[in-house]
Amino acid sequence: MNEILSVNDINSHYGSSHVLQGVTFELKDKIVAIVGRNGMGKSTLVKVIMGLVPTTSGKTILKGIDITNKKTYQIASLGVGYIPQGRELFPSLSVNEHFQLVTRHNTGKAWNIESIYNLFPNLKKQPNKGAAFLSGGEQQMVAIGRALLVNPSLLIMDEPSEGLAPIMVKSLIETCKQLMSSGISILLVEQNIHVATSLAEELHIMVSGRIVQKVDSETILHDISLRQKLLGVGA
Amino acid sequence: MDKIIIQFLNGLTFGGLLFLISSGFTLLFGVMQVVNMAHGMFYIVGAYIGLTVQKQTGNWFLAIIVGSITVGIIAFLVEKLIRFVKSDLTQALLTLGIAVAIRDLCLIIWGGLPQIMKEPSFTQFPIKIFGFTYPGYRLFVLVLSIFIGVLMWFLLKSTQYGRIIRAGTDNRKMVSALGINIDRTYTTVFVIAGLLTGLSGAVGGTYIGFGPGTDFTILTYALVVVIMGGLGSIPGAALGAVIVGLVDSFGRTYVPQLTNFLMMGSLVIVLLFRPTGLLGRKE
Repeated sequence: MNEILSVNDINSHYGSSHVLQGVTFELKDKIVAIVGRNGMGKSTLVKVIMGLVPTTSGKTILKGIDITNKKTYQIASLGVGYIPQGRELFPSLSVNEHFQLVTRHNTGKAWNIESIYNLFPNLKKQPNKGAAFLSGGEQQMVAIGRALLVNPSLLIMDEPSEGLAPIMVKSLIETCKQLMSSGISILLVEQNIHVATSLAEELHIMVSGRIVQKVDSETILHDISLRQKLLGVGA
Repeated sequence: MDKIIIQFLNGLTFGGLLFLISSGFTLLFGVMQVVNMAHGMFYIVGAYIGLTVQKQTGNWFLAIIVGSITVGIIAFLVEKLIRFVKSDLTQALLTLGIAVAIRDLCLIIWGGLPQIMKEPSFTQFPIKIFGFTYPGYRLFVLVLSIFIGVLMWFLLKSTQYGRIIRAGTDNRKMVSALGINIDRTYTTVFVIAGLLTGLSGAVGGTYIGFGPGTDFTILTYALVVVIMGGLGSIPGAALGAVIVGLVDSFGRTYVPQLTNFLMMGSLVIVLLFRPTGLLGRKE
């Protein structure tokens, strides 16, 4: 029982809409990549794990601890870094203030403000820039840096490549590989097959609120009809 | 010309008081999305307690400090009560109910006649400005509100606490997702709002008469200032306060029967061009 994250038969509702219909998967080691079309419940799943949306039934276990009904800040404090869809930076804060917000009592740990700037040297040039004025790529760097500063063992990334230029996507993939090899596990939710298959050897396919099957990354990369069947046109 | 300068100063100093009154309100709304209908009550309790303490001890400073702390305690209790209700409407109704209850309590204790506190001796000399004299106490209020404004600016800009408040105003859930227990911050924000408003009540009650209906008047002013300046913005509250102060002052002098109309009219004009207030965030 050494899983980082174990999600068991999770159900969740928005009002009477049954959004998650018994989601089950395990993150044992480096990464789980969940892919699927829009509206399949991928983001909701992530929010349920983070405690931002209530669980109707089922259990979520993080490193042996039942986090199903824990508050969001408690879950994050257990070592979960969250990078939401759209980044959700704070427009009222500068780059540096984002990091100061999280770091206050994390001296001496693996990730501190200096190590974040080492990871993303581009941010060092304008640390006082307001978050609202950053480019997509810079925003992504701040969002990742912010999440790393909780010193997580699990990083949850919801559509991290969305809105990024191709060269930034490449950068993103490199960063994720770096983080994985430093011992951080990643739960990745993506619509971009290229990103997902670059990082994970198999993909978890989500359809209508459930994980319906796992597909080998090599296979799905080369099988266009399979891609279209599971992920929609143009995937 | 003299008259205009005096009215300008009156407007500015009243604006200073309005800022003190409104900054607590905008803090509560910005950080916690709480519409505190008990805000006017916070003001008059500060004034009434200040009045009694001053009568008992003759010490004005003690009066405003005790007034401020008393409202801080009341705010703490109100915050605990608010946790029991979930929707915005219920919150507004609950705070309104508490306000009415405590206002009636004030009526029982202090009676229905208008009251006013005595100005402290250190401000009781008129100041010479531009060749004429102006009441020292009013200038003191302006100086005090600028001082507190600067203090708040410093708190928001340079402390971890201020960062949490600013980030929380932007996106509460994301702050939680970073491991920060923002609920704990909420209690402190409520208490600060209470302390500020209680202080403004005692300070304001020293040169503006108050009575059982004052809480409603103050709440109205606070709402106008905060909506005009932008809900959740402290600089917005400052800007809104100065504008409302000036409109009110000049209005009362030249067209007294239109004062409220001018004030509300200014708000309408601002909202037409900037629906979220002058310095409010765009939704």
